[in-house]
Amino acid sequence: MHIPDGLLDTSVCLTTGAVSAIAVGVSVHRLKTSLADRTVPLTGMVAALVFAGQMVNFPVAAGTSGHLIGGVLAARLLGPWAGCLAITLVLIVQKFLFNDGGLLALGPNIFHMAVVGALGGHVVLATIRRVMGDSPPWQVAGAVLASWLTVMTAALLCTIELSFSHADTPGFRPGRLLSLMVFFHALIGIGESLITGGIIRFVGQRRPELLQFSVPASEDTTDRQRNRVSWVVGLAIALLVAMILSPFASPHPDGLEAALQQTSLDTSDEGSYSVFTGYDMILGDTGFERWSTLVSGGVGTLIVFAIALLLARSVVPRTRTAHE
Amino acid sequence: MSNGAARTARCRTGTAIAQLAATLLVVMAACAIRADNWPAAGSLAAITLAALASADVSYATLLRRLALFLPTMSLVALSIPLSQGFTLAWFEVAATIVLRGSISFLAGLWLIQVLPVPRLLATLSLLRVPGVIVAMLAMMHRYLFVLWEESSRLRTARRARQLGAGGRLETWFSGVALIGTLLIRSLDRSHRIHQAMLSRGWDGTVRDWSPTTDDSR
Repeated sequence: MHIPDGLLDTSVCLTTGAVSAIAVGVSVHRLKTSLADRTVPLTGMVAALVFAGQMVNFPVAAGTSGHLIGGVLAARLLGPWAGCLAITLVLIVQKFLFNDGGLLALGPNIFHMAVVGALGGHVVLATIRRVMGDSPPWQVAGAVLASWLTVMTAALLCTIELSFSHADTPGFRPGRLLSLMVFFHALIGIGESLITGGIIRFVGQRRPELLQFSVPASEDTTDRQRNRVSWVVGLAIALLVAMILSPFASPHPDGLEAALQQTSLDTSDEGSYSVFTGYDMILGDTGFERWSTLVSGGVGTLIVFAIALLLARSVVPRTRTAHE
Repeated sequence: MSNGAARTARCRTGTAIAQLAATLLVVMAACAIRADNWPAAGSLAAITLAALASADVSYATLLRRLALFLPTMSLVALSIPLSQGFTLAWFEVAATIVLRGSISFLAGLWLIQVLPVPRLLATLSLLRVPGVIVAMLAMMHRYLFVLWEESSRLRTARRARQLGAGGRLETWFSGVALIGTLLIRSLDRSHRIHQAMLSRGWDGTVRDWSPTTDDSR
């Protein structure tokens, strides 16, 4: 089910709507600069296909059923930009034809399914294709992994948005909501993975030419672009792990701190030059204290990434240019 | 097209923009109220119900749509007490979500009743939404029902071959095969459409969806 109006705060909807509008705008711009005359009918048709595909229900348990979301499938068939547009169109038509999902919540829905689903899915698909090649088993594996990861990322983002929407409610615990969302969406992600992977396998067996990327893997990116993609993907995965796992951090001291306390050498309170006294202090008394651990995970990851990058640049000689 | 017809089309599009803005305002107002603010919630609900009545939405349609919407909305809202604890405060948050969602849903129902997709396309064009999006939207809307019919035929054929309900695993496999078959046929169809467009002079340039060509209603 799409996010309905009323679940998220208006400011959260407007913010995610602005992000979605930028992503859709970039997609339109990218398509305009490389618009093949077949793009319009192909994208419209794939959007209609995703819509029709979502009508096919798959039984789950206890009378419930699931259906295809389609972000990764659209990205696999059309590429990231047209894929993002196709899912955006699906969401617009679902809203204005069937009143499915919210009007104000169109922003977060596009953000989760088109931006994360298609653009994020493409990043995973392209990384797997680059590392493992484009053989049929890896095409299926890539679709399965991309589907699961995009559903989980969307669940994480939805939890963050929900938490911001209820941040002023006393006693709200984002970690518990995250546990619930991660649990259910892990199952939804498995369903989406099986459906998308199954469709890619089915089409790959019957009409493999439909799954060929229009540009061969060796020609579409330079080495520098590949490196950049690897950095971005690596950083995104590290941020995802840090921000998902940090709310579950144990409140107990770690091994070194415990040993120091036992030997009466604990100096954590006095004479310490740390900027923050704990992971939960980074936002101080700003009214968003409950987000401190999550933000700490993200900030820490970014700092470590920056240090690693600087060290790597200083230790490893600059990459040879193409003419050398 | 005469000036009078063009003026009428522009007037319709202007009305569509007003309808879109009014719905957005009602949704934003609904998202600002709390469950304990009954006067505000009641007023908004009364406004949307009156608008639905003026748009000739029957009670049967309304009840049928609400019967589909409310259980899923309640389940979504219950995620809050389910994760935070079954206390009165969290149930109030869930009730607020259901109330906001229901009023917004009714407003959305009115919007889709008074703003059919062809007029929406003209409105989007007037709002300077990129022509590529409007053209793709028009293409999608045109072929949505074709694919839906094709999907129905495939499902009928599957049921005829299965001779029974089939197991859960079998249903999954046949569902995947159904979407896969639909996908292959859709891509082939898009190729044929592209050829037909080329033969009619399509050069990849997206023209604006002029309000004067609004053929809704």
